[in-house]
Amino acid sequence: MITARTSPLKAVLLHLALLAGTSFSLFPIYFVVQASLRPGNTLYSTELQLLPTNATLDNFRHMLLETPLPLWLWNSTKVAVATTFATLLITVTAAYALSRFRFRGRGLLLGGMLALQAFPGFLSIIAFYLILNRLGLTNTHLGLILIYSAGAIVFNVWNLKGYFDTIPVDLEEAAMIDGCTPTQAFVRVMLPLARPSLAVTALFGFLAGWNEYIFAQTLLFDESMYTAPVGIFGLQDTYSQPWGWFAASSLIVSVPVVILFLYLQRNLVAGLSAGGVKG
Amino acid sequence: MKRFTHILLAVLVAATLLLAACGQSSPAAAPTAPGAAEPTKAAEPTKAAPAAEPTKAAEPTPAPDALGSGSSEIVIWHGWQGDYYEAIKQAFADYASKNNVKITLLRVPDLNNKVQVAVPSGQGPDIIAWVNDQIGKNALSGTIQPLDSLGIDAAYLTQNFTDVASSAMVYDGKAYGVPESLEAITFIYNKKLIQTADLPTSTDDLIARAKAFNGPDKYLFVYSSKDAYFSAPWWQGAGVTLVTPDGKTELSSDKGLKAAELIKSFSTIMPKEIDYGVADTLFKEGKAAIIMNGPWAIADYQKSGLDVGLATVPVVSSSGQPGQPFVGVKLLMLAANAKNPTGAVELMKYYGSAEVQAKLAQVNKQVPANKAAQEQVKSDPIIAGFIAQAANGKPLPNTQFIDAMWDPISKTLEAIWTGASPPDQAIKDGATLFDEKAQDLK
Amino acid sequence: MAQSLTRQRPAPASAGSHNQSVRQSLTAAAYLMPALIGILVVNVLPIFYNMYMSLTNRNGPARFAEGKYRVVGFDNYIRLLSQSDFYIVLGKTLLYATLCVTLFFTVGLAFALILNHPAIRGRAIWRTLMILPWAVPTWVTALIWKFLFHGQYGPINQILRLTGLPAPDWLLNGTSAFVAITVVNLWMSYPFFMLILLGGLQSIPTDMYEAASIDGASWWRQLWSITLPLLRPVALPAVILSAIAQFQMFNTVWLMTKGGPVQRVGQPGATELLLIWAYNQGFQGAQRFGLVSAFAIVVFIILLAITALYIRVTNATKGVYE
Repeated sequence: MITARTSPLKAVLLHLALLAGTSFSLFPIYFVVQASLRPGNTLYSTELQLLPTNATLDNFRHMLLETPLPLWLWNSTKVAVATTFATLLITVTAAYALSRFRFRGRGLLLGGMLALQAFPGFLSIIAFYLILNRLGLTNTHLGLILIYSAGAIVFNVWNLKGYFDTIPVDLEEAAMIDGCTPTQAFVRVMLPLARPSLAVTALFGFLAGWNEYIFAQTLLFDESMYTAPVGIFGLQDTYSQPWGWFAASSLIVSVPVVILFLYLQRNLVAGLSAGGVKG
Repeated sequence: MKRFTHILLAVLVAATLLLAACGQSSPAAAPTAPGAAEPTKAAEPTKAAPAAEPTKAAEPTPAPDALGSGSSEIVIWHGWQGDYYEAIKQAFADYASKNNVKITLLRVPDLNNKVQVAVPSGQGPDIIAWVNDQIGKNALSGTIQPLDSLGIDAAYLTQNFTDVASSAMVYDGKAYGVPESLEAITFIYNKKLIQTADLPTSTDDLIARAKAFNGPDKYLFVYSSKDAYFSAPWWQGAGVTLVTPDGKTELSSDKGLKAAELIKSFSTIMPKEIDYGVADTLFKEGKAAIIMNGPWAIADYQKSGLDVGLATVPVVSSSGQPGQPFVGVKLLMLAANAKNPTGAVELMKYYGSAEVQAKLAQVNKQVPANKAAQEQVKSDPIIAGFIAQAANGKPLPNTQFIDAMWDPISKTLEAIWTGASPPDQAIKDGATLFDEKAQDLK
Repeated sequence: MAQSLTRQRPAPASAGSHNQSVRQSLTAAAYLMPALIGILVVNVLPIFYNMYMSLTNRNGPARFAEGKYRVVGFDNYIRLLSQSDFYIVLGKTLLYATLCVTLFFTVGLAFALILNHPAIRGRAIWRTLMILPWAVPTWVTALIWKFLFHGQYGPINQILRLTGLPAPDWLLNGTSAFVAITVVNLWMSYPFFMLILLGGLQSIPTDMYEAASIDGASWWRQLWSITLPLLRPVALPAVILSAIAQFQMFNTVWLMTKGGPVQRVGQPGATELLLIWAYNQGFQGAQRFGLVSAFAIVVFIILLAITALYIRVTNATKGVYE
């Protein structure tokens, strides 16, 4: 697939293809931006408006100053950050064990985790509710963190294990010959090398806590406990959706995620490759 | 890499086949060791989480709204919003300071499902603020309790509230709530686009006038036509009882066919793909002269600079009777496991008083359930419009069978509207679907 | 799983003394414990609960409260599996999941290949712009897409009309509604596949292609015999997990079409996928917890079987290639 020289025509075509893909990605987002800038709370307009008329930042001002959105964002931050750390802790250790130790039931465990994903949890929200209730965790952020971080286990363990597998065992063995325990070798040798896939795990943990709303809506009663998606979704009444507020607040909610994307750029690609070829 | 894939695949095949086999042979065989389920142990992994949780920073605005500081607390779950909520909050704050109780107001979205899961597991509020169609289901599932032994019975209700409101509180011979206000959809028109004299008087008149009035992107009349609640005036005006207390529907009948054909003819005078948002926008943008909508929309229309008037839903030509919308009665209900039932009932009585309800009506332009309050506010033209419409309406049934109605009627409407089925077929199928849904509500 | 771990014997492969293996196993157990407990509470317990519920008659408000319902055996399963609609919906959902994952993979791979091409300038910018759909909450984008597809006022059709192209009522017609929900799903999911495959592509050593070029292998030939086989380990878990997720699609489609458009009242709508149908059966009208639980178990078993089959098939073809 490497050709010595790319003809200018081909290069232009490739860039045009990228432009098409990017437009596809951005087209709906553009309309979110537009709705957020439009006065009033309508999404529909009977004429095609490519530029909003009477653009205003009113919706942003309303959401940030006149609703509990800042509090909800703070709740979301707590939940997402805690989920990130919990996910990292749970999955990194599990993936390490699955990558480096040979024990009975290892295969069953890897496959079993994948198999459990096949259960449609959405249909048994009431079961989640009852379990958390038994643990005294309904209407708490802790309950949500538990669900989110456990929900993120499977993909992340698989992804991390794949990455760990690509790191030569020799490096740890060398460390152990130098007197490290396996755990020390893991922390000092493995983790720094696995940084890209740790970044991916962290991102996925964060997204799990940041964007989810079905479980959050079921398990939280108290408006002061809401995460941002629950709070924003709750702004609609039976019939009408306040589009200006929806759009403005979803953009506000998206900002931290975009920043994370930009920050994790490089790691994102490397960390997802899960040891494709090496090994 | 080869080793990795090899192991990965071998493991996957072996493990998932094994698990699948277990699952198929008997549903009791679980993919994990039975007996491993120990909820006490389960608290362990979460210990890691709070350590990582930054809890120190101060919370911005504290919600929920806790009013008063009394020793006894009454918790209310509700869905109130905006200025209306502010007015209610004020009324409760007055009560809390006078009676030395603490009233906690929690706005709970998805109230319906929340109550269903929370109350049986020993949680939830003392009082639930809702609409009367929820009474039957919740009485049956034991999430709310009757009030007769606590001082609110049928006699108390009829003495203080309008007949429609009081009868809407009674289910299976017992009183289950204190009514707040009556809500019905009505014709709202844009005075700039249509004169009062030109308002349609019957559905035939409406269609004829629409054909003359409509132009490109210009409509005489719009409404959320695929929504069961919004279609009720046509069915009921034609004489159809949509749901009976014993779980039947008259949807599939000669009268039902007349209504279905009427709805079909509406599809020729409105945009094909219409829902609440589209209808609302057309009206707000001045592209539709009349919309059928409820009291909640008035403030928004006035804010958009429209000068609006109200008119009752016109006569349904096939029957000669006026279109009959549902009249929903907002109310307070007592949760089955209320911690403070007597205190809660006192509060509910206060909420039903003329003084509170008149105040709420002025803020929210709604029809008070309290008779004396209704007298006080009926001079307001908007409230008067809704009082007139409610007089033509039919109380929203409080039987649990109403839950069998919404989805089948919405689907019937869609089939009629898009032409997926002819009207006679659509109502027949709709009634069959209703019967299927009603089966488990008995 | 927990038991198989505690009962485990030392792994024979590990070098060193017996004691060392025991210690290694214990270390492994300790490392796995948090994940196991999490999985147990969040993934396994609900399955048990559902199995129990599925055997009860907890359907409808009169049988909702604790003590009001009882175990009735397999009634819910019989009721579910005797409906011919179930199999229609199942077939449609399989078609949808297969179509979606195929599209995700193909489109994701196409853009990954383009992004990985040495002639591309500003790679990081393109990549970031293309993954932005990921950042916006899904329920907002689902509602936005519903508006974009509106027959009369939607921007898609307004643009189509300006260019003189036919502008169908996307969400009112069965086939085009199905196309619409597929497009939306592609929009949400292809960036993830693109990233994963891009990572995979970047770890393939270039000398493999150089050698193939010297042997005169065409671009297609290289794609089939080098790129795709080497991407397999990266793609396989993603494909499986994504297929499972598509099979369980609810939220986006529900917000866009509610399973409609209605073809005939009482029959599944054009986009009424398995979980939407389950929701309509179980929660629109009476709350049928027993029936829905049986549904969840049946879906679980079907998905397990399909996943296992898929892995066996892909494994078999792998044997053919190598």
